[in-house]
Amino acid sequence: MTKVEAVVLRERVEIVIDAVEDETGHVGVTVVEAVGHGREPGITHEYRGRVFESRFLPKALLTFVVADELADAVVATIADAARSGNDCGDGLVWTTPAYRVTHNRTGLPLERAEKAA
Amino acid sequence: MKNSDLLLAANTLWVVVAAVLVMFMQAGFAFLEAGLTRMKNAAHIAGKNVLIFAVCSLVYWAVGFGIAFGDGGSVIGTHGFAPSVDSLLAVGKAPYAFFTTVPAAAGYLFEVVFAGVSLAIVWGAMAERAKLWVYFVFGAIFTVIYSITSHWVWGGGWLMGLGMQDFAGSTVVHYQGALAALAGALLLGARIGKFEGRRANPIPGHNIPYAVLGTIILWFGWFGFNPGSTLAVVTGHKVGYFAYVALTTNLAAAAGALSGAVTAWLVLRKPDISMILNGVLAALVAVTAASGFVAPWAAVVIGLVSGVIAVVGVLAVERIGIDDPIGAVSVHGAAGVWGTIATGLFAVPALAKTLNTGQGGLVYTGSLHQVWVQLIGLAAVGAFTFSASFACLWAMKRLWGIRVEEETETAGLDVSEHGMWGYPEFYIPVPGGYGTEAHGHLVGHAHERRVPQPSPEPVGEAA
Repeated sequence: MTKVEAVVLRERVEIVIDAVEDETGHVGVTVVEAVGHGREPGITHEYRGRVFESRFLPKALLTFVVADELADAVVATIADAARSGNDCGDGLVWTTPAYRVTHNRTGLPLERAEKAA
Repeated sequence: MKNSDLLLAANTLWVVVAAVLVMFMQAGFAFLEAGLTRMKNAAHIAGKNVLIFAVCSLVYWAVGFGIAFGDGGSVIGTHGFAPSVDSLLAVGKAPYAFFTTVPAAAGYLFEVVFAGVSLAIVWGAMAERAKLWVYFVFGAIFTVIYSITSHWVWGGGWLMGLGMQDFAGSTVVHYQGALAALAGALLLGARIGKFEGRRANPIPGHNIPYAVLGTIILWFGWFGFNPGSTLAVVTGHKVGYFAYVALTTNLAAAAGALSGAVTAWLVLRKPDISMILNGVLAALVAVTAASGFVAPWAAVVIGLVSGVIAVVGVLAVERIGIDDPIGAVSVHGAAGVWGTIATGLFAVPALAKTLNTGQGGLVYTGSLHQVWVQLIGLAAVGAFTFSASFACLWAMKRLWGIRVEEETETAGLDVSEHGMWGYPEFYIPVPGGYGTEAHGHLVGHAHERRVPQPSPEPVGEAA
């Protein structure tokens, strides 16, 4: 199977997940609140007159584990749905192969467990 | 020392203690409002209570107190602006002949904290989207509007002459604050994402224990708000009458809590905590007018009805498309109207006589006279305060805009208006802060010899 990970703006999380379900039929995601930075400038903070830069901005890290044949469609869908129209800061999506993906409740490999269900 | 001096001293002591209790209600509003809104606006919403109380205190000293309680006509007071030392220390003398039981300074202290409460209510419905300058400018304007109507009802004005019964300000403080809040909410529009077509999305408050703490502080402060409005330890010929007022206040709040819980359980199928809190606050608002006038059973009835009004009101306001994050329009507005009318229904004739204000209510006298007076008061204050607030905010909107930019609202007012977050350690690497290796619960034995880094890397690789 394929692990698809994406860093997106927090306010796009729902939009991305809905788009993946609607476009590819894949259901299931893990969401982690994250901070990070890319090319986007950070935020200038002030505290008692001291100015400091924080390069980190609030993002969300989404992890999908999908069937290999769905991976391309999921990646394309995420990239479209995560696009905000801003110049930068929309994040990335990437894939890695995932081995021995096992369904905890049944102990079966996920693909067989899903067929059984 | 003469007996009359001792009485004056006791009065002053009580009124100043009560004023301090009411001032603490600002803390209640800060926690209630911060708790019922989003994390990204928490510092702004709590902190602005300090700013607006400061604006209100100075404006009220310069002009408000004179308009409200200075000697003058039936519409406004015309004396006692930026008062002198002598006039503040005198008792029952010009320009503040109104205060016969305490020095005018105690009068100022007690009345300015009321103006501050009324102003705090205004922002509940405008939370999370108003520009910061609006707080300063409208804060000053509203303090003047408030002073005018409080002169009508309390300071020797025409509604007082009619015998309107508003013991501590269901109309003057709460209903009036809610009217300005409604004007603000209408002119600002809803927060981004609140409504999709006719469907209302929930935007949950970020810290319900904060809202609970705020409500308990408000309940506590109300023991200054209502009982302190006796302005004396002897009322009529009743010594310690303020204790009775405290009792009716507490009974109503208790009834409101239970009624809010039960109503929410029936209507929403769950006893929503914020609705229980709204039940308490609505009951306190409603009993504010009635607390000195009614029997204990009536205070319970007023509280029970208020709990229903709070829950149904919050849902109704949302249904008609008004975004009121805290519920000010329902809890302070609708409940303020109910409390003012209920006083006309339930006022005990003997207590009205003790307070020398108006007559007995409908259930005792069979006469609608007092209800009619109460309705005149509601209509007059409603028309004046809503139209004046709406006109001022409308002009401010046209001239400079009262709503923050979309990006500002999305990022949150904490970071965009003040350059800081209410909870910075969630977002930025603070030395020794949340999520860093030096953070308390992550320090294990392996790290004991480690020299703390001035700016540690956050946990996890950022993309």
